[in-house]
Amino acid sequence: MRAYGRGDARAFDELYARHKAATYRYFLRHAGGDAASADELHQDLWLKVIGARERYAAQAKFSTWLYTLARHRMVDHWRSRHGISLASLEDEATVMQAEESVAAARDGSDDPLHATIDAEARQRLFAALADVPPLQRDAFLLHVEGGLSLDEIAGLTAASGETVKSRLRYAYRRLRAALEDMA
Amino acid sequence: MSNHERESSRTPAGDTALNRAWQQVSDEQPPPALDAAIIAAAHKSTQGRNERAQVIAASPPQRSWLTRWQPLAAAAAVAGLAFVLVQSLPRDHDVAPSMRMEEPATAPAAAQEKPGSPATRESIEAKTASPPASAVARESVAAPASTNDQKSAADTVTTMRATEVEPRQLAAPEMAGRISSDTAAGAAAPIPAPAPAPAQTTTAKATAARDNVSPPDATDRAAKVAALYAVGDIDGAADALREFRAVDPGADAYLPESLRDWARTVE
Repeated sequence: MRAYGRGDARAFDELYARHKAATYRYFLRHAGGDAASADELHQDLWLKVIGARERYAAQAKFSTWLYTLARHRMVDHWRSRHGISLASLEDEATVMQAEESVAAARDGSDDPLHATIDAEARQRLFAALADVPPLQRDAFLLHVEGGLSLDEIAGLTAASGETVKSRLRYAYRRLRAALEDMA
Repeated sequence: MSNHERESSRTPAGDTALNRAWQQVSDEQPPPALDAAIIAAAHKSTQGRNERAQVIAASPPQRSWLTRWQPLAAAAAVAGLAFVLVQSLPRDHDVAPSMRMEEPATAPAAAQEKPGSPATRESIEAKTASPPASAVARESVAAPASTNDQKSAADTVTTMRATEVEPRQLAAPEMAGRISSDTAAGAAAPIPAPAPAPAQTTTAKATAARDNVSPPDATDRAAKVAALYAVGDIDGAADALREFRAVDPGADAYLPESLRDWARTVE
């Protein structure tokens, strides 16, 4: 990122190739498979990265900084689409509201991958993730797609390490249950 | 190492099956068009920056006004300060101008002459016989030099001058006293004298003019004896006294009181 900030365009190419799939899937899973929303969020994220190239200060790992931007963009998306914030999603009522919104978005998805032979397994897994409350899903996606450690997630989400670990444990339990149903 | 591989190594224990399943199903990629748009935006931004950098590098460095004129301004400030300092310092001609008016014209020469030598005697005789008008004039307006070492001879001449000598006859004895004082004191520093009044200067010039034409009389001869005695030329003083006695048998009466005891020893 520092090389790109100095004007090296190839550095950005390498950076983008390394992180583009993970950030795209992070948005796609949060959007319940809504590719249009994922495209929009993904583009917004990387345009922010481009705009911030000269202000970038390497105070942490680039991936941590990148997913901080991604999460802020995701929170804005949730607020604009559903009128709720990510921080308020611990509340049971808002969890239900969010899950309904995600389910509605999932029903309207026309991802061609759903038509493949693994469509059922994919649907089950993604559906299970969609059932996970957003903060737990966010921790899971940051961990699995972003490759962030528990401490990095804790720092990024302003939560304690134990809280992050608890969120991850809950998400894994829900997904494991979905896999066991498949078996 | 993909994100999934990294995730596998960090996932809590017992979830490897879940991670493997996740890797199989979660493999979406952003559309190529979106990739192209993002990369194009990144390159465009970089090109704009590089063009700005090239423009900045190509333009000559502009020195600020302060940087350009700073040395000249500093030099002007130093010159102005020096001028003010010079103007504020006291001048030489403002400090005691009368001190330089008293020049030891005859004192160094007299001090260099050995007491009792022929040169000294001739000098005294010549000055006693016909002192230059300029010297008389200067002496008439200047305060007489007096130090502790010169006390006997100088006092003798001064007393004689004040009591017995007419104004027109002052020049020779005073010159002799001045010579003896200067010789005895060596190269003593001249003592500042008050500035002469115009009337006094005129009188001194007239006296000097008259003395140039009158022969030495008894007072001059007595002054000559006293002067020679004062500078230590005892033999010379004795010779002068004898000559004085040859001309005037009552010569001893013209001598100062302090020399009369000595005069009795001279035959």
